[in-house]
Amino acid sequence: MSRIFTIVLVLIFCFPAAAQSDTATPITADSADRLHPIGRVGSELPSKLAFSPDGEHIVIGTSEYTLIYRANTLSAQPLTLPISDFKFDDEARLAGQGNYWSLETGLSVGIVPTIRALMPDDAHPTTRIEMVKPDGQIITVDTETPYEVIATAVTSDYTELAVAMHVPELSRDRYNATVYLYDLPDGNLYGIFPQNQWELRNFLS
Amino acid sequence: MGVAKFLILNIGYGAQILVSDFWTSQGASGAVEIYALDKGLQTAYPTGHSYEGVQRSPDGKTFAYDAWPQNINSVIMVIGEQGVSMQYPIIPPDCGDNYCPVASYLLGNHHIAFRTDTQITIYNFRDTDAPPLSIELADQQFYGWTLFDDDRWMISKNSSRVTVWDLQAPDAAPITIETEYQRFKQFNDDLSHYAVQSADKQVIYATETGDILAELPLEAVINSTMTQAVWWEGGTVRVWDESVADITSIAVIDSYLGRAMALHAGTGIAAFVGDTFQVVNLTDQTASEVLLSAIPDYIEFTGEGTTFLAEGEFLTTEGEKFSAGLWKLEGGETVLPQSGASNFHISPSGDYVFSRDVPCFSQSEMGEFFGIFRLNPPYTPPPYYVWQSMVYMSGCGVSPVVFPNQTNRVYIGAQRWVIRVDLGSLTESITTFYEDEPTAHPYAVLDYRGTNRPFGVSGVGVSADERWLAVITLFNSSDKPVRLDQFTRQVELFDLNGEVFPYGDPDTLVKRVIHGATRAANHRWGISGDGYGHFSHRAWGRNHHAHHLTRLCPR
Repeated sequence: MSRIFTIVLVLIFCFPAAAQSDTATPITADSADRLHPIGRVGSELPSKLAFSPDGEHIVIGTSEYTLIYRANTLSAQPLTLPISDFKFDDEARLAGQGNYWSLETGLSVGIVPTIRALMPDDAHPTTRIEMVKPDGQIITVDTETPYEVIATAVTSDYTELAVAMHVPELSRDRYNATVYLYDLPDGNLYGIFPQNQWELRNFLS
Repeated sequence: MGVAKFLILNIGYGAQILVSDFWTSQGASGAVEIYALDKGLQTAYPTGHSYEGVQRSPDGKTFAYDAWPQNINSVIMVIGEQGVSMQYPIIPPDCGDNYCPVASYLLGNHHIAFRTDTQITIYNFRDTDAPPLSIELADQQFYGWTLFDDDRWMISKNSSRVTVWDLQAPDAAPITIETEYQRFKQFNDDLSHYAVQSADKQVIYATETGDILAELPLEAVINSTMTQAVWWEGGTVRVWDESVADITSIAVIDSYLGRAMALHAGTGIAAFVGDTFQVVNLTDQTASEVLLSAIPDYIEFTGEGTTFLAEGEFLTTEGEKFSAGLWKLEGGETVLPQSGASNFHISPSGDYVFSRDVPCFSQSEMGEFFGIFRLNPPYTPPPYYVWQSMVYMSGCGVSPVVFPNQTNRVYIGAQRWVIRVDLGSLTESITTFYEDEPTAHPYAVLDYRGTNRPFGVSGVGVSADERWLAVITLFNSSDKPVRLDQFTRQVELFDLNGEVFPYGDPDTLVKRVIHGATRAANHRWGISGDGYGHFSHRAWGRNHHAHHLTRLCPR
């Protein structure tokens, strides 16, 4: 309890009260990226618990860091990873914060491939798909459409990309998406057909 | 070799297309074939029509379908990588040549099951020489099955029993586990352990002996061999280990239970409720920690910066448990809360509805309405009693009080009436929504004491601008005593634009029925203040929880 109280006081004195500042900026969409935490009452928060798929390790997540224990020697010093969220992927690799992590050393051992949609903005009037490959290479494909992306899938060899988009002119229903197929890495459109988004991964399997 | 890739495309309008590029029974290789299932399968498979849907195996390499629209003497086609692998006539042994209802299920990647009212027969379509497994259903209701370990084991369940069948040894006796009042979770990898879940715990058993190996909290994570489990307990992780038959603790973080917080923007006071109650003044950079008689689960600042706290335990209409206490924050530069007990404790039971800026609240308990109370600075006890209707307000027809934007006006429904109270002048106005006495039916409802109770208006909703009024009414036409959850409810919406409360004949108001009869056992209604006239209804019954949101009218 005294520790909590000390934290509160330290935080308050370290960060002069925002309420007194004449230069305080209202929180808006434009200023949101300049927000930063000024303090916390209480300790870190408990988060995920998981066994590694082979049962050899126990992974304990908190809101600030992640600990890795050996399941059969709990008294040994754990490894501490600087990540606050994690998961094991289908190949039993520990992934968190864009990296794969070694359960033996606690060090990053690779980049987690990702795929995300970049919606149109003032600088780019069309929807783009950004993929981060396991080697860190980034591929960006311009769909040349302004449509909302419902789902995406890419083949494991990064030669084909499927993007399910909601085309209002074809369907009012977001569940009946239209799938656009692109070859990679050039990003050329080579096929369009209607398809239920939930079947997208089957198509590329 | 075939590519073994196909998928079912739902192209909308009820039509499905099956695309395949595996070898077909006609020997065409690498072909992509498209079947419009709603118009009958075409080309490769001489099967007739299929309206019954296609089942796919989890590995996506096999599908099965009923070759005829109706399954009288029908044929199930199982088509895999090499085309049609088996055709199963649906005339189970116990049906003879006669019709009997049959359902077929593609089970995992290897088996197909046929079920009649009396038995299930399971064939291995990947090994047509394997004998089928027959399961008699005479003594159990069959709820479903799960396969695991590469489709070797099949788990079937009914309400009180889990049975494990070895599909590789159809003649072997199955493993049977009684699970009455519990939910079977899973076996471990080698079937030596299994876990069941009851309302408040998980239990790991030894399959062979039935011994309990561990009782674990619901949130415990169990490893695949079921020899270890981990769970959080405060800031500590507990580890159960079968090999040491004990629980080890790992202290990970300081234990701290953050329950609630509140910020009063006007004075820059923040209150935190965790394991302790703390008040921080952001203006003069002081913080205080106060011991209270109980740690509250809910805090809210009043308009002036004093704090309302709710603590302890009781059940609200929202299903939350708390009791209420009121603390005063002293004035002056430090703005510290008083230590010790609260200024006033509200009855530790009952339902409370607070106005938006807190100073007013209503209290009711088990359908008995106690009135409206006001909390005025300096919050010396007790809150003073503002109003209680002269109208008889007791029984199941009492609704929660509705505070629209104006704190000084509240609405409450009871029996035949909707009552509006002006808390400034302490006057009440009544509009009668039922001409008939709701007690006309003498047995209307038995309440929790087994006493007959009337029925009628059981809820009201009022939009923020007080234009829209929703009235929820209870009905029951049975000539026997019925439970409250056997009543039906109807919701009517009234447009009060231009009308003055008390309203005249409700039938002359613009009215529409927005919900027909519903048997929800409880309900909450409200009209949103976002200008779109949404209307929400939360209902829950014995086995059902639901939220309904109705859009009334765009403005």
